[in-house]
Amino acid sequence: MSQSSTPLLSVRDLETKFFTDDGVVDAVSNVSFDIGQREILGVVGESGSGKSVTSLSVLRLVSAPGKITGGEILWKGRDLLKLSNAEMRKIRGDDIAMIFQEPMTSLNPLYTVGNHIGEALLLHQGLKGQEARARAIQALEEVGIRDAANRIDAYPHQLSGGMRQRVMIAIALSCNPDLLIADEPTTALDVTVQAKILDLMRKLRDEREMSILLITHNMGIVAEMCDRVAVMHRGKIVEMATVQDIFANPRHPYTQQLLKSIPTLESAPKTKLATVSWHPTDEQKANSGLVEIAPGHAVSAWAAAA
Amino acid sequence: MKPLVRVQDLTKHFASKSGMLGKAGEVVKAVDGVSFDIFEGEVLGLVGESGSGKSTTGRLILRLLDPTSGTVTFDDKDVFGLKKNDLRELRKQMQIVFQDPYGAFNPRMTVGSIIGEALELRGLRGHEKSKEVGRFLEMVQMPSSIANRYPHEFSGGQRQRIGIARALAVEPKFIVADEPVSALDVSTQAEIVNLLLDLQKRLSLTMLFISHDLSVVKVLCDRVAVMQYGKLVEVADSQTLFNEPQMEYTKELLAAIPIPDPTRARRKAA
Repeated sequence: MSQSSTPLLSVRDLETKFFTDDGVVDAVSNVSFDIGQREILGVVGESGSGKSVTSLSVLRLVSAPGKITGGEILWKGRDLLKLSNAEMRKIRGDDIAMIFQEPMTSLNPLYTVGNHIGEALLLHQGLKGQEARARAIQALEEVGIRDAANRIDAYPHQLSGGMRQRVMIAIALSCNPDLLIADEPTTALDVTVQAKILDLMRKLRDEREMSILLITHNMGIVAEMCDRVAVMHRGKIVEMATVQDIFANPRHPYTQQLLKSIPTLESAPKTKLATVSWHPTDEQKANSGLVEIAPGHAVSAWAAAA
Repeated sequence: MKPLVRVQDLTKHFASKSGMLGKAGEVVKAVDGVSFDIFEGEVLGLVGESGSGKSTTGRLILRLLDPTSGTVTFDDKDVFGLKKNDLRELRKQMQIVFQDPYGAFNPRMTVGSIIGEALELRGLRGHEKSKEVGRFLEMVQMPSSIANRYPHEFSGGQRQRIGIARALAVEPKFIVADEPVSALDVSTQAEIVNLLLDLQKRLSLTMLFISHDLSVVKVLCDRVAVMQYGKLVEVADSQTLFNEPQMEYTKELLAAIPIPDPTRARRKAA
């Protein structure tokens, strides 16, 4: 039997729908996954896959017309969907923190970097005044911001994209969360800046024993960062495996096609890329629950049988 | 071989009035003395990170911006020296495809009108024009029946196809594609890359392909120019640039790209 390993986060049959004027959208359907301690789980998908809504659902940040309509989100054994708003507010920031793709829109332009971190420290750790300022400077230094004692008084617009993302990470980490949800954290950044931010995230995971739920469409980032990967398509997980398996033995046609269609530095010049043409037939849609095909490797039932 | 486009010592400075770009009175050298050639029938990639000046360079070549100094010669004509009418004529030979398919169209014009506008520049009217609209839509693999619909009815990838059709409708010799696939999903990106490959070959187009994504550049381009902080760092044919980059910055850029293969770790940070 496996030892300890109650997963830190266990999402079971999550269902989130959007009730719009044009009809109901099944943004997330029957999504289940676990994240263990110190694990980086990648959730990969294109627009409309439901990957972002999944992460927002974990933190119960889905707003109208979206609504979580089913499932359980077990955090250290407690179902987050059953918590009161006050209890949930304690979880956010303190236990589970989140960083987003566009740091400029996530940061309040009227507040300094210090104000941002200070707010988190006050809300979750009750720190004030000099103590909060000292802790904030430390948080900035931990994410590699030089001259932190001065940068702490800067406004978001005075910082570069990479710096703003570091500030977002500093805010997220200031209260020592056990899980960091990062939604496309480097998509808006230059590739050299991205490399540094990814290195930073890995370093922090190692130092703090933190888990990361990393949402991305970039398979290169997945290969570099993730321990396990869930591939999503139109609200469902179609395949889930270790990062080695997903690249070496993709079983679902969507995963296979996605991997083949990515241009890389190894791509042949002036040669057409493979394209993604798979979409589910009605029969496949009806048979889409995940089944295990190898230890740690699950795929849609119809693809497992194929 | 004579180049179709010759850029010489191109410079563009932006003066900052307020604190946004720098202290008041400071000058941002967006493009700082850039020189390169683009030969007929080739696809030249122009790569760089944000602030490199690559987009500004593309716009200057088309004279969508006026330079601070320097020249651009297109087919032996001095682009910045042309009078209005001559420039308008020249513009029929050079077109642009933009990055953001959502902002590139007048939302109140149908797809047919958008492409039709370009065709009118070639003197086409009425039935002949409609036929041509259909032909260009089919060239980008869209059904001609969409001519009566509006841009907002289409996805990003579809709009990008429409943008390409619009650029091609004038039958230009030269197209500047400014990050045309950056805003698209992976699967859509592959389709548009393939479309551009196909069209460029079939129509013998000369292209300046601006991108921050070196992998896409590798697939599309014959030669590559790398920019950083407004200056040209390295220009080489694709094979050389990717296999034997000379400059440190180019090597840094290549090394920073995450490889979609977990068995090969990217160069580890210190």
